[in-house]
Amino acid sequence: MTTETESLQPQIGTNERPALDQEKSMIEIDDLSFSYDHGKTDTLKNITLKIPGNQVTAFIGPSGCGKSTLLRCLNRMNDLVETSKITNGSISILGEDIYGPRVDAIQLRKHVGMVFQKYNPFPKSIYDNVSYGLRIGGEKNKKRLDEAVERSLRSAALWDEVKDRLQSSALGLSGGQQQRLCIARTIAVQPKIILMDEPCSALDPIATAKVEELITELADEFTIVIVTHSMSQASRVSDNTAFYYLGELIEFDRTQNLFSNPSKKQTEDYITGRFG
Amino acid sequence: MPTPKPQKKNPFEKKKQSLFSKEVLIAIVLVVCTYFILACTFGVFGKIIANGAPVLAQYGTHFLTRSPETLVVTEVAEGENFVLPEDAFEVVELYNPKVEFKNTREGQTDEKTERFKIPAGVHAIPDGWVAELESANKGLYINWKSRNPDVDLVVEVAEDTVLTFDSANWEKFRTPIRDNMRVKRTELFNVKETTHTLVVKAGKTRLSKGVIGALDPTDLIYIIQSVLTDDDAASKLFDVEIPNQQTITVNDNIFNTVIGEGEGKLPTISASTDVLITDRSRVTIAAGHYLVPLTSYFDLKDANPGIQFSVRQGKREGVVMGEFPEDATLELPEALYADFIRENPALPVEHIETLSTPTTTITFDLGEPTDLSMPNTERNQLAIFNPSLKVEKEQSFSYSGGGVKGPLIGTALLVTLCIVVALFIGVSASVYLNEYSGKGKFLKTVRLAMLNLAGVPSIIFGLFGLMLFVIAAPRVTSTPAVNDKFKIPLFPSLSEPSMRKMEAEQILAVDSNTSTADAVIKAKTIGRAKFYKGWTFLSFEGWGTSLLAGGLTLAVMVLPVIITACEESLRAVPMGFREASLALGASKWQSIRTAVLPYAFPGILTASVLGITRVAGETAPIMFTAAVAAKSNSPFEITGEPGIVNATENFFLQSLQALPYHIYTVAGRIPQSEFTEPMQYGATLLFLIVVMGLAGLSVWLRIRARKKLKW
Ligand SMILES: Nc1ncnc2c1ncn2[C@@H]1O[C@H](COP(=O)(O)OP(=O)(O)O)[C@@H](O)[C@H]1O
Ligand SMILES: [Mg+2]
Repeated sequence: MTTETESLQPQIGTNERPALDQEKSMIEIDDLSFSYDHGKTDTLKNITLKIPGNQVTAFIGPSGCGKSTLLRCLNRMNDLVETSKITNGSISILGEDIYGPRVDAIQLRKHVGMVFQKYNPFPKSIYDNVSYGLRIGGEKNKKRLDEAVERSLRSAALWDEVKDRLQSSALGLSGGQQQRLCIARTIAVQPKIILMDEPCSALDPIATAKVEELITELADEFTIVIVTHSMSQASRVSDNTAFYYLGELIEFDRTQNLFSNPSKKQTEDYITGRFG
Repeated sequence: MPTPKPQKKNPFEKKKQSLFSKEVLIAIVLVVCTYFILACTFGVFGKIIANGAPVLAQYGTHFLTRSPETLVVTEVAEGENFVLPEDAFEVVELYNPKVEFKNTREGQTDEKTERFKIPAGVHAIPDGWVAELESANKGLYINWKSRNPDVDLVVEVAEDTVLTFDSANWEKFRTPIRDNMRVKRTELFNVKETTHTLVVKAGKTRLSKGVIGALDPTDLIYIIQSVLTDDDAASKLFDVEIPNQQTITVNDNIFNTVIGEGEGKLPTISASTDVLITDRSRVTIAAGHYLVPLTSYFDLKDANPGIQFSVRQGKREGVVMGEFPEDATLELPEALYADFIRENPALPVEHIETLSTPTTTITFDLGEPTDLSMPNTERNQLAIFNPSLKVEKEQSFSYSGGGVKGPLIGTALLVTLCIVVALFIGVSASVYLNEYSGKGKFLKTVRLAMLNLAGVPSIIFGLFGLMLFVIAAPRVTSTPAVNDKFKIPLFPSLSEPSMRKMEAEQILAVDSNTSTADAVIKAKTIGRAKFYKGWTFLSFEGWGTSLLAGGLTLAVMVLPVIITACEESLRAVPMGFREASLALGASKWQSIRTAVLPYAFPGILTASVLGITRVAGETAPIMFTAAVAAKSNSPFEITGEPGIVNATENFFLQSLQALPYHIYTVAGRIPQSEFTEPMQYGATLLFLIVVMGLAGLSVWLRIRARKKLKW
């Protein structure tokens, strides 16, 4: 298993790509500051970042530096925290300011899906889990639902494992399968972007490997932003990596560059394990 | 093994404890208290089960299929050939397991029912017969628009009776009689009536108590300066002020008492005397049914106040113009039908057929004078089937016969309504509190309010319900009560109330130009409860003691329990479900509906079943708001005007029997005796079983929910 994922590494590294700041960006974060307490203290400070489309971008950094917070800004999940507030800057996705007055958070989230740290399928059948997003979107046609469920499960590399028990409870699956089910559930609504917040932190190494493999495959179709605390994971799955420290973006570069040749002292300290 | 050295000290050595050390004493107190509780529990349950189980075993389904009624204990003299319908006999046997019914044998009687047709149209019917027809024909409702004063009425004279008339009236009475009234004797006489006209002097005076008493029925206005008591002698004098000069007319008796020499008599300026002579007839008429014009009937009654005319319904006082919108096929028992035909000769009744239902009867003998106990229904049967029954002595015990069907249904209805309302409000409120509202001051206030509500004693909820729902809740009605607090006019009424409704509910009709205030005053002065002026009001007159008022009172009472439980269940649903659902593009409500409520539901259900258990047992809140001790019809038998609106209104605004209130009645409000005990213990045990069953159900639900939903 591990050998298989490691074999992917050179592929990413050797890919010929234009320089990072030349790429067409999917998400543009411009001088963003964010506060959880009405603006008294900023959790995120002046972050400027352009995330390219159809690639895997990893967020790394020590615990509490604001990776999840930034991720949750991207699909406005932070709206749920009443006291939260964007204190400065903006985020645009596909050129549209997502905190602008013309944007509905509900519609936004249909385009920006999210996979959580702790896998959280609903206590329903596998089928119902995957079709959930389409159903609440108003899709009633059984045939189209069936197709979407199969397509999503195939994309999430779960189809062969569950095709015979689509109607049994999702909670009967193993942890790794449940997380891939959550990914399938997210894919089913066909978002442009998938946000993943430490998707493997609750999984064992074998399941982790499977999910990582899946992530690299999905990058063809989706823009993926993944938060991880594992640097090896970042180096295995991502094209680009952003390193945060205490709410600030320290460095953003091609993953290979960042790990082999960090330009900042803090980055170097972190990836060499001197702190964090 | 080497023997331990004797000088070595055992570090774990047991210390000697005195029997009266603090430790031991405390332990004893704790143990005694615990066992005391246990003993009490066993005592209570034991007594209820020991006394209740035999009752349930003896009465069985009878206890569940009959409503409470009076228990009659009749001492019947020995005799032969007592007859009872089979099912009534079975009940009597059930109630008297120790009595030996000798020589029982089966027989048959035919219960005959006449079926007849009344053609569509408006017919004059005595209102007593309206009631009779409606009670014999379920679902029949005869509407009427007017009363008819110009019709004949059958008066039943039970035995030869001497009637006295003013001669003029007697002629009037006799002329239109169509039935041949059998007059046995007519005696003419005249009465001399003397009246005195007094002019009473104004001013202060002293009157004896006797004089004051005699003046009471006259029109004289006077003010007594001190307090009269019953023990005062008739000759005792009181200071009296007569405010102005007045003229009164008194009869001979009063005149002789109030006028005279000496202290305490009435001071007059002048007195004159008139003598009036009236011709009277004293007539003896034979027993029988007589057809009498309605107006003459009232003369007859007025002139002979001492004589009770045998009137079966007690309210055959008038004839109404009953409306039959279409041909009506009706039924009456044979005997009643005969009376009906005789008493309504003008009604175009068309006989269709005679139905006969054969009934098995049981004939039995009693060897010795026997105490027979039975519900009132069976006692009536006994009287009907045995007209010559000799009863030595009879006792009756209210609410102690029959079963608990009515209270059981009543409780079920109250609880259902309560839980539906409480769940709706409770779930809505807790969803708002838990999912929508911020964590600010408002939330804290609501929580505090709820905490307070939870601590309020149930009797206070009863009073609260009385105040709010029974007396002051709003109703949309075109016939508002005159004594409500205020009413808001809404829109013109669609239809006028029928005359029948106006009579039954004491409604005064005024024309639509009369102001509401004037209508209220007018209705109040002539003692009407409601008024109608062609306008529909939102009237804050309350719902009366009713299912609706009781159900809502109970709902308010369990709300804190339900909301607390709902909130807990909602909080137990992992945040992850909400986030996942929102992240998939669900709106807030979608996410709550599809990813939160379904998983909170088992917890909510468990809580509501616990709520039911609590609510089902409450007496105090329903005492003033819903419960009655006696009710003749089942809650599902809706009487009154047909139509879905009326039926709904009647259903929700009816008062009910309820199991806890019934227990309170039989255990606390009626005199106790050995005959009331079966009902007391039977009802209590049944109630206990119901409540324990519900509690058990909630435990089972919780276990099932835990198994099914794990995350
Ligand atoms: N809902 C919240 N309300 C207030 N503070 C929060 C909330 N979530 C996270 N924080 C704070 O924001 C900071 C960044 O947290 P987070 O983004 O979760 O860090 P990371 O994911 O990088 O470990 C932390 O100090 C954390 O305590
Ligand atoms: Mg995090």
